[in-house]
Amino acid sequence: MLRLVSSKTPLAQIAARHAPKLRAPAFTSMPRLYSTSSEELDLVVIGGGPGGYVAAIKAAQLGLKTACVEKRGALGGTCLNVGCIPSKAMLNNSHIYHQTQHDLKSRGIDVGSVSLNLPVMLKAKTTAVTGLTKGIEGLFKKNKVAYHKGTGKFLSANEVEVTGLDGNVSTLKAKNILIATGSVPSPFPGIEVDEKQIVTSTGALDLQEVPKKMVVIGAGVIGLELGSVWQRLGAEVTVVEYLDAIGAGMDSDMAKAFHRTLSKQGFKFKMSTKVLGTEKLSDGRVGVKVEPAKGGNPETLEADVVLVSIGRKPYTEGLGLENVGIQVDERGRVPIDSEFRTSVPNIRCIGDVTYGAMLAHKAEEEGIAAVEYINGGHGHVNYDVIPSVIYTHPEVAWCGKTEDQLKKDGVAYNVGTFPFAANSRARTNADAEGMVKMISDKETDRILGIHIMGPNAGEMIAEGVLAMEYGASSEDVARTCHAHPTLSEAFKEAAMAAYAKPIHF
Amino acid sequence: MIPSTIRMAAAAQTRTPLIKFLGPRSALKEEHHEPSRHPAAPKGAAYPLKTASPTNESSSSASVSSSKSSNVTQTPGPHGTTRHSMDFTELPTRYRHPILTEAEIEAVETGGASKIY
Repeated sequence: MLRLVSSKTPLAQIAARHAPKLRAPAFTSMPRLYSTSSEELDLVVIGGGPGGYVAAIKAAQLGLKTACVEKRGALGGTCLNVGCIPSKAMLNNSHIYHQTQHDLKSRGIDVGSVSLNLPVMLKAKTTAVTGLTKGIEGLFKKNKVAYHKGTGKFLSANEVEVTGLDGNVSTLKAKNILIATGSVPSPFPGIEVDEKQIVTSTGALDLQEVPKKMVVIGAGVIGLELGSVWQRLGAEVTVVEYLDAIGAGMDSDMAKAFHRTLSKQGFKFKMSTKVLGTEKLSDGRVGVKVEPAKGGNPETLEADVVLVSIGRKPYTEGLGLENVGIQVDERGRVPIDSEFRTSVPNIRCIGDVTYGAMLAHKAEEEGIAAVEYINGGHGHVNYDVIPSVIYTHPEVAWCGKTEDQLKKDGVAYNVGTFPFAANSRARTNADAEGMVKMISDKETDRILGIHIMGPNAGEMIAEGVLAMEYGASSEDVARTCHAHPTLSEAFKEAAMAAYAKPIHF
Repeated sequence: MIPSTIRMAAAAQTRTPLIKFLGPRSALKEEHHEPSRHPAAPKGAAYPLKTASPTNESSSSASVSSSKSSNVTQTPGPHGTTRHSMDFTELPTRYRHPILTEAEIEAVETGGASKIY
């Protein structure tokens, strides 16, 4: 029997395009995976790192038909797989090991012989990583995000070719595409990384034995964190830095204090020093040739392992940007406007691969904001209040302006500092190294910058970020009740110091 | 008299926090927003953004630029104002009509009679 199915005719389809758009509710009864090439998606996210997977979930929650393409075979990107998460697992466990060896006796805890079981420590790291990456896959299923394991490449402004890990090739069509392909470690010219002896952060998280001597090239966040891990486990660590200060642009007072603290822990620093190259030594080790940045006598540092941590660069290899006419800038970043649009309006870009700090939490914020813009709303990312944390011990955390920046900008300011040595909880814990420094506007008292070095600084900075996001004054914080005895009282006292005087110092 | 004066003086010194509570975003008045230079863009970065010619022939819509550097023409409007207009082919993808499929074109040409299931 012949019958006319009016609702499925092409004419009806054309008419439907011009009808008011009604979005499906985020949670429908049956999950739908929009992986077929015939159906047009609302959004395809290329990259399943912290920016990409968060954007994909948010988009699905807003009712957009969403797919995410990830080539690693595991979600979470650099952060979860070979960055923030495994390094924190190693930092935490190496700290416990070091504390057990050197600190417990003075606390009245006698333990027998303490030895390192590195394979188990590495396995604990892998367990943490696997659990979290699988967790994101679960979130994708829960939110009905189609997950494509493969490499995404632009065919056109609305088409992404996916070469699956299984070799199958398919094409995804989408109204919007989000680039979230992240970054990779920057290579050092003339130094070839083998991830065994000469390693990037990826290899440094998977060394199969503790090196006797380790040379770290670059005194930024990654170098100091991973240097700390292996130094605690027994390596003799030498950090070579071209600049005259450590810590990736942190406040200069904090950088000096942090430098002193790490030196006390056993780090050796060669500041204002240029790396010329590496060479294989006859005993199988690596020689790192260095000389003073301003010129002088070169010398060779011998090392069992060399960590190259001079920064990261945007990753767009194989993405097919040339197929859509997007040109990267001189540093490999994809240029975008304030709403994350590239030069092709329906293609947006977030995270490490574009402007701003290369931080997972910054990428997450951008992912949500970009999706909100796609959905017709307003995204919000305050680039003045993005926190930075170095997860050493003590931790260092900061957000907002440094004194140096304010001096350069000609802004009048007040500074309040408070040492953890004067904080009751820090003293009780016998962990009182560091201080809190708050900088506020001289005229309005609005907080302009917060810099913390001390125990739990990475958690404490959240209070500062919130205060700055709300436009708080130092007096607002100082007049907010903080529980006693807590480390956070140091934060309150620094605020008191900024607008008046602290009580306990 | 004296106590009330003291109370008034105390009231005048009541502190107002600098913090501003905006409430839920959904309750905020819809504000107009136009794309602009990205706040984290380096100083020398070009804006508006420009698109290179795509090397892939199939990406016809990719050549559309979001910039106003294209052939935007200005014509005098009413009351001394200026009208801005651009060529239809330079419109961003989202403002264009979707491309019809072969089946849809055939259906339009035949008034729908060709599609009987």
